[in-house]
Amino acid sequence: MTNPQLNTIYRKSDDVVAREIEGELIIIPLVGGIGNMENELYALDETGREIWKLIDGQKSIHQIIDELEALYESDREIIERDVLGLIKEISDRKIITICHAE
Amino acid sequence: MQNNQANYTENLDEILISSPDLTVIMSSILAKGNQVRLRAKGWSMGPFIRNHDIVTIAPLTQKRIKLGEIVAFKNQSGDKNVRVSLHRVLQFMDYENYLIKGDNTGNYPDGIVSRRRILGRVIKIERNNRSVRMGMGVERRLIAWLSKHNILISFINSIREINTIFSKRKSR
Repeated sequence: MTNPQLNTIYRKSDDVVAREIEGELIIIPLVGGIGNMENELYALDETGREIWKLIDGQKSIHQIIDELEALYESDREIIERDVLGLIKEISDRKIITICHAE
Repeated sequence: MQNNQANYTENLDEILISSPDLTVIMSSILAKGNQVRLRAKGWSMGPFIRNHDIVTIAPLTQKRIKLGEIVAFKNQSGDKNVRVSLHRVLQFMDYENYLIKGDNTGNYPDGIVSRRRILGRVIKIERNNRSVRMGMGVERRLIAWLSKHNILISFINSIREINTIFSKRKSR
């Protein structure tokens, strides 16, 4: 998949089950009608969980980065790298889908 | 699925989540009408489901539960100790309640389990990358009967002995 663009808006896929368990966010994509807990079970780290919360079908990647920059004292470059990196990983796995792309 | 370049997601090699959490996740997947595929742990259904076999569980939908089917259900002991067990239906008590027991749990059935505790039915068993059919077909009724009368394991052991005797004779 090509790298996500900053004006793209993503939403969480309908074909996913995500549950917060003991501080970890566990995500299971539903592929072909099967939740494969044997080898398609993912956990997001702390950074990933923060980004996941902001993927809501309304905010663009750019807006997500803006919000995170306002919340955390971190270089915008680093935040942008992390957001784009996570979004690429989870969109490759169809855990999120594009709502709107420019 | 392994991805050497994944930096933000961790692909869990095995289920490290606790049993009550497993119940929540499985219920969520099945409630959406999807199947669940996961690795079985334990020996209570041996030899039909062995430790580390991979099972696929389908939601119940409206279909009737059949005698001898292997079902996934919430097995609770005490207030907080909820786990998912995969055991066999031995008898219909009435339309909504079933006598359930593991094939290899001796004389200790799980007791009467109501349909609302049943999460789904096992539709596939995989072992060493192959599908296992034994215990899933029409023979499941015989298995249920033998298990209910607590003679299943001795019956299986007898079959194995006979098989061994015949194999030895054949190889002479």
